[in-house]
Amino acid sequence: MSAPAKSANGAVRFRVLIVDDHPIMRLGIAAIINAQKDMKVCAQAGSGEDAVRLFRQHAPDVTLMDLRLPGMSGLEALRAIRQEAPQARCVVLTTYAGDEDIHQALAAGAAGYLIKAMSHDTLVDALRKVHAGIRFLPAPVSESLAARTPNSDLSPREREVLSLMVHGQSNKDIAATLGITEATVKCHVSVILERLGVTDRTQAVIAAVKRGLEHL
Amino acid sequence: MLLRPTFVCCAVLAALPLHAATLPNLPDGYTRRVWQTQDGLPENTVQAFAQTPDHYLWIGTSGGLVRFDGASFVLYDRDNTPALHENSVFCLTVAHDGSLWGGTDGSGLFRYQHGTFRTYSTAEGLTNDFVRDVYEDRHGTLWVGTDDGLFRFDGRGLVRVDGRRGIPALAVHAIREDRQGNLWVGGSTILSLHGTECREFHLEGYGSASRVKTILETADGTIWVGTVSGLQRLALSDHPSGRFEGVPEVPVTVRALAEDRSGALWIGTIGDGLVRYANHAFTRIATPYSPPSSTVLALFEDKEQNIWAGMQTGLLRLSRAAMSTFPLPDAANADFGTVYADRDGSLWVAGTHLYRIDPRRGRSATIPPPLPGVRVRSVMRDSRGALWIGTEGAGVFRALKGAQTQYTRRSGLINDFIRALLEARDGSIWIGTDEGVTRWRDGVLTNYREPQGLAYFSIRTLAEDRRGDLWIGTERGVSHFSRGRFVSDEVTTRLRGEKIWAIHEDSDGGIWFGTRGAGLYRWRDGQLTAFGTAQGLAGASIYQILEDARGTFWMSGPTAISSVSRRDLDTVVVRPGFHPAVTVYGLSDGVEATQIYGGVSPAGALTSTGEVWFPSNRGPVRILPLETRAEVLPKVVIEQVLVDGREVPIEGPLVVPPGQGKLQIAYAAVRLRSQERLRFRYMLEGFDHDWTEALQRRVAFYTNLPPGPYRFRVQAFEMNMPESVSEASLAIHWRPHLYRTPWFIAGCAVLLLAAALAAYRLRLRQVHARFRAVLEERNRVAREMHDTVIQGCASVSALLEAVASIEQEDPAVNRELLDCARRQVRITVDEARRAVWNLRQTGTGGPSGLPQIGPLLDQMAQQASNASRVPVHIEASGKPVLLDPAVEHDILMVAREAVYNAVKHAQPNQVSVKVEFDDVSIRMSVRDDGCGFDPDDAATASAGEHFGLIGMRERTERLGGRFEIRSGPGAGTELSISVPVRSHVAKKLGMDLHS
Repeated sequence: MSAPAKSANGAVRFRVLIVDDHPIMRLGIAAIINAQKDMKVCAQAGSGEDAVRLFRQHAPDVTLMDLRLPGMSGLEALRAIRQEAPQARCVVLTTYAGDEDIHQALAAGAAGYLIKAMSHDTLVDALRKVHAGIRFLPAPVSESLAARTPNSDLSPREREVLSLMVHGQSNKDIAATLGITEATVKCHVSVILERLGVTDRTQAVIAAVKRGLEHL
Repeated sequence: MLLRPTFVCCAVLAALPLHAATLPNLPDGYTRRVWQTQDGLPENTVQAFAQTPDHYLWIGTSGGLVRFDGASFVLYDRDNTPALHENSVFCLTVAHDGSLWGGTDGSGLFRYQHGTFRTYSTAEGLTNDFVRDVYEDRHGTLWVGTDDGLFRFDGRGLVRVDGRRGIPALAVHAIREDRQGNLWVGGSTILSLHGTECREFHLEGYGSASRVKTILETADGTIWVGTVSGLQRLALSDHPSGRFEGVPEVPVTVRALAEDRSGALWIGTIGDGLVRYANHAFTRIATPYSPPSSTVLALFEDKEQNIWAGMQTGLLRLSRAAMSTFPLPDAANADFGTVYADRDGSLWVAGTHLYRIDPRRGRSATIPPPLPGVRVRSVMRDSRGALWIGTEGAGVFRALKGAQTQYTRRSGLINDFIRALLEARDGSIWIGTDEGVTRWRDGVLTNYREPQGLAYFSIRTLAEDRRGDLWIGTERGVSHFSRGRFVSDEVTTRLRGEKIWAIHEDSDGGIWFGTRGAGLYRWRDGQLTAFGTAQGLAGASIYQILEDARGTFWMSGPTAISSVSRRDLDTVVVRPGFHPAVTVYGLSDGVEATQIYGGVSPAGALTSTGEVWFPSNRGPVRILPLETRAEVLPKVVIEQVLVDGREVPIEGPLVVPPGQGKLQIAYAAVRLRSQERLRFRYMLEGFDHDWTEALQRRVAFYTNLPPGPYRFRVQAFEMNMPESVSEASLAIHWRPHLYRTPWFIAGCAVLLLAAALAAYRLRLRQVHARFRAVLEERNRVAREMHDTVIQGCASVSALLEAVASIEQEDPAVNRELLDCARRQVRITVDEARRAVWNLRQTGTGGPSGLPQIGPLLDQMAQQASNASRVPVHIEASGKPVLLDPAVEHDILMVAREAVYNAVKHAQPNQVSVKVEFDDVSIRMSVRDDGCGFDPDDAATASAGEHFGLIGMRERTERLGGRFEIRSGPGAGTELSISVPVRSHVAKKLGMDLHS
């Protein structure tokens, strides 16, 4: 880790790595952060791979991570970073508002979770809190998390099946893709429907996308 | 096979004295029935009888062998049975194994067993084919007598017995075994064989006169031999001497002998008819009607104790019956008749003459009329002992103790033609005439006609009920005379116009009215009930109603007498579906009908001994009180089954192939007695829910039977004993057509199910495909929205948040940020529009095969050019390749960003866009001739332009392409990208799997 940068008035500014695939987004975020006296942008990444590389290079105090990235996903980047630096403080800034996204992000080590288009106060507040070692979950996020259906954890295989379901594959297609029997697929599907608390495939797909189990 | 239904009737047989010493009559009646060729016999000459264990009577005729069940004949002859070589069947016997043996007139022996015939002739050792008798002895040995020799059947063939070992050769005509085991063989001589012993006997007479025609041992051990010259006998006590003595009473050729179960001997003669020997007396059985023949060829008593006589001119059956006609001289000439039972037990019968009968002695006397030439119509004795005699045209006579008073019109009688006489309880005598009623009271006559209230002038019957009311039956209605005047009530109203011929008050106070043609009525408890043939009556005309001590109604009609329990009739009123047990006594032999008389009272009488008498044109009919004999139930047989018009063999359960569903079943009862009172009912289980009352019909017919299992049941019962039935049944399994078999239907169902399943699958697949399409579209829209609107708005939001957070520190920075936001909003709107447009394209376009990028670029260039007034040229080359919409979109976005950057920041004179396709990639360059910039120094570019460049690079790299920018201050700018096409195809596939 490099030494903390100092602001113009001498105060130590903690450094932030922005990861977002949208340049304009990064422009805006960077402007907000740089306008603060206690923080500054040390690097910007447009992809997960870049994020991991730049984290290694800059060792930011806080990483602001988008989940939707081309190539390596934000979640994967988050895990990679946390694996290298278990103490790394990360805030997720994303458009995904599903409970599963939040759950997964927190499970991957994020300390804060922000939905894009929240006010800049929330953003800087989150960055400060997380930098101070406090978890930051704004009200809509914690509510969404609390609404997460208990016992809805799906096994990896069920996740696979669900993913294929979301992409419109039939049981037969899924069976062929995964190299399992159709009966097994049916079995998985029925478990998935039960876990998601729905009665048919369409509802399952909608629920999966809404909750962030799958993304389009 | 010949199946000819015949109708069974019975006739009353009279017996006439043969000699002066014989009894005048048979002890009780026999009914007689004759069959001839017109009734179904193949020929009239009947020569032999036998009865098989299945009760069929087999009849050997000169025209073939006939099987008879009591109702119809089945013929077996040369034409329909090739095994029979000769039609003339001369003798028959049934062996212990149930097989039927028959001898023919010239074609040897045959055996009928299990439905097949086999012939035995010369080849089997029978050297003479004229078989005269066939007989099985107690050891089961079959003996065959022929015109030349006696044969024994050894199981395979025939061995001649006579002409060797002390047995003289002879022509055989009769074989019988006696109780001592002697085999009597008669013909040209008579022998008895016992083991190896042979004894020859001498008969009275010489030469052909002593030829033996028939042999019989009666229950007393007497051997009776019928010879050409007469009957001879050998009493048991005379066996040692062996002396046969002639029977002088039968001096004619005796051809047949039979002993019935009562011990009577029946003797069939050639030329002198049938003679019955019982109680040491011979009686010739007179047959005053047909057949005229007096030649009897065969005699047989069946298991039902009918006597069968084979005649030269037909078949005769004599059945015991409790009914007979009492012979009266000149009885047949009467055109009316009444029977009145006097209190001394004698009967007055009025007809041609007036007779008085002593039924106990069986004697009758003709009584002279009260005046010469007067015909008596009816007789009645009053309580004072006076005899009232109603006449035809001479009024009424009252005879008491030798004094006789005549009442005619002159003396005040209403009319001289008398039809009814009645003594009322007040001692007055009512006289019904052809013109009204007259009441006689102590010599005073009062007349009642229609003006006095009488229903009609022609009187038929009179009755007084227990209240003393008089009921007068007329030819048109009934009158009710109560307490000195005629009254009108429901009976007189309802029966107005009916011919009331009989009135009877039963022991319970019910009044019964017998009508001519309109059935029977009962008046009781204020209710009038009608009975007709539907309720089991023998006919609609009731001439007389008699009630015996047991409560049985005896009713006469024109051709029948019937008896029925009154309780049964009363039950009909309560239970309309109830069938009363009616016994009908038929009186017709099919040739000449017996007519029962009615219309003049009393048309029948009941004696104190329980005998019932009715007047008829053959003399009074007498019915003895019935000792209700337990009748042997007839055996019911299913004779023939026709399926769709074809006969099928009946052996066990019937399996019928698919067809039109037409089933015809002929059944019959094997009963050799009269089947007249036999009734049938049948039911096809599986089709019928209830019995079909077939009455006397012997065929059941069904059409449109669906396939399936059935059981045909047929029952026969006596009309008066409907509860004791005999039954036959046949299981029929009608196999369905192929298309109606369960497995076929099941197969169809499976096919249908499979088709439905296939259709369902197809539909499911379609739904899935549609679902997938919808899902894909939905996903695409979601992705587009996310990529454009959400991302764009989020970015703008971030920029605006940044502006808000910077708080006017640096207006230039703020302006820069706002500029970015403005640009981003515009881009976002464009992208959102395009997302929607793309949606429409997908919805309407389809795979045209043409890349849309060309027109889209044109459109974009046109917009940019219009907005900036800088000309933008588009140039395309190479063979266009179909691009993934997402790729196309990204390329378009890059082109747009580049063109807008150029026209906005470079102040160019013109901008040109080149698109180049080749097999592996699409290359695009955007060049302007504007001011240019230093690509290495980001500061020279505006923030927006800078981020625009980064966005373009990132987009291109995301597509796996290369991004290049060449520019220098004053040198214009050239931006070029190269995107591989094949990799997009691969990526597209990958995207389908992983979004």
